[in-house]
Amino acid sequence: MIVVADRDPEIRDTVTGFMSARGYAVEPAPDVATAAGLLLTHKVDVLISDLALRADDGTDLISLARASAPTTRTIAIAANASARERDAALRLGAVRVLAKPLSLLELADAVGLALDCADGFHGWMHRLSLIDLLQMYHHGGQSLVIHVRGDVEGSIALRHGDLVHAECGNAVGMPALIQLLAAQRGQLETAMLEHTTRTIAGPFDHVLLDGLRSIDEVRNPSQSPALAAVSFESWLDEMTEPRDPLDREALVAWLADHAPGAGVWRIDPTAPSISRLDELGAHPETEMAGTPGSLGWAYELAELADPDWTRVELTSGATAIALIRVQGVVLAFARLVTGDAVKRRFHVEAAQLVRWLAEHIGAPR
Amino acid sequence: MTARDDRFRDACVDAGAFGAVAVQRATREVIAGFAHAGIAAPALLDRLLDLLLGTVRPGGPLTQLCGGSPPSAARELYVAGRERSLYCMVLERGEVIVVAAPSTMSVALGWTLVRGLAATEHAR
Repeated sequence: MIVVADRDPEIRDTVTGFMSARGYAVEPAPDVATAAGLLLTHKVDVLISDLALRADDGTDLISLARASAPTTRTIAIAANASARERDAALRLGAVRVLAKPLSLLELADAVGLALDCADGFHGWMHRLSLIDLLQMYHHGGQSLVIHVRGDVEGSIALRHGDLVHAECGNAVGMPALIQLLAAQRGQLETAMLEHTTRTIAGPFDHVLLDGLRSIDEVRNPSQSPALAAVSFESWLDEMTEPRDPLDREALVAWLADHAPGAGVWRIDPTAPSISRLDELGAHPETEMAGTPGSLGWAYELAELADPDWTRVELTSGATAIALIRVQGVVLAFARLVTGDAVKRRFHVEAAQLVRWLAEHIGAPR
Repeated sequence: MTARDDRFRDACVDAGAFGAVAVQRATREVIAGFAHAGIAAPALLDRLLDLLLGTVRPGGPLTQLCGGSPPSAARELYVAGRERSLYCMVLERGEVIVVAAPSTMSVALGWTLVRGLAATEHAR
């Protein structure tokens, strides 16, 4: 349950209506006594409280919540809060302090974060490096976003402990991650992971090591003797760069035998790049002219529907598209569908391709 | 609960699906459904329908790379995740049927369920 404590009936009603529409159970409270009663008699997950809301005896609602309902997470809202009041609210455990006039989207984010903080600790730490933090969240298998602020500003997203996205200025993916990892100081803040497009691929350790190696190369371009550099580099390459798990020749041969006339592309969402694999030319290029635009669309839909998707099938106009993701390899498989028989054939071919990939990706050659 | 809601519930329970919903394409109003709160958060479902129906043009880096927006809206979408699969079908009468089912459910059964739900309007 969410309790909205504010003297202003307009704010109470707006926030209550907004959060109710998002599926939350919400109780408005016009004063400290009502809010305190709800805290004592109900399991309140989130308390949204005006910082200026005090009882006649000066009792502060956030302090009261901390004492009487320690599992309740608090979001403070304030019209003209001083730095001291904000600091006090944060020290009392408020997850966020939001300014009036209230942005409902900011509030929704804050409520999401407050609910996400239901378990575990939250607070302030210092002398923590970004690498320490990334490793902590990686080992915990966490899904969240780390916002970096300071000389370099950007964000890094982890999904189930894997690095999936970074952005910094205009850069995204690995270039952004490298810029952020190179930062020596600043502030860090975590937030809930929204649906995000994957721009970084590969195992966590490889990605991190790759990033640190790039930083090292920039910082020490001519530090080591050439021979040492070559041997170290080749060792590091061997350690960090996995070979392509997809045997392209075998795939093309399989396609020629099992799905002639279909188009197959390989998608690298991190670059991003898209390349046609079936270069055998089994069908005129013009027939599939509308398809590539739909591949990106299908990918966006899949990421939005389920970031952990493994297979997607999209029918649009006369084109049927299947996206298949196996161990980080993403393939798009498409065919012009001119009738039910062709459509059934497409589904069967897509299912066969899934099986073929599962058996062949990463298999020794 | 309407008779059509009942049919959605029976179909989901019989097939072993998590939930299903029929949404009016133009207004996004829920016409009928069963356990549809669990299909997706309303905001997410809205964004998904926007992208599916072409109300919002896809603009991600891959779409840009592929030469821009697709030529037409989607008719059918199937997304298999680790634990659950999502089936969406856009009907000519202006409805969108969305079904969430366990990933272990056969895809053919999933689409049969969607087609059955699409036909429930005519069964009245």
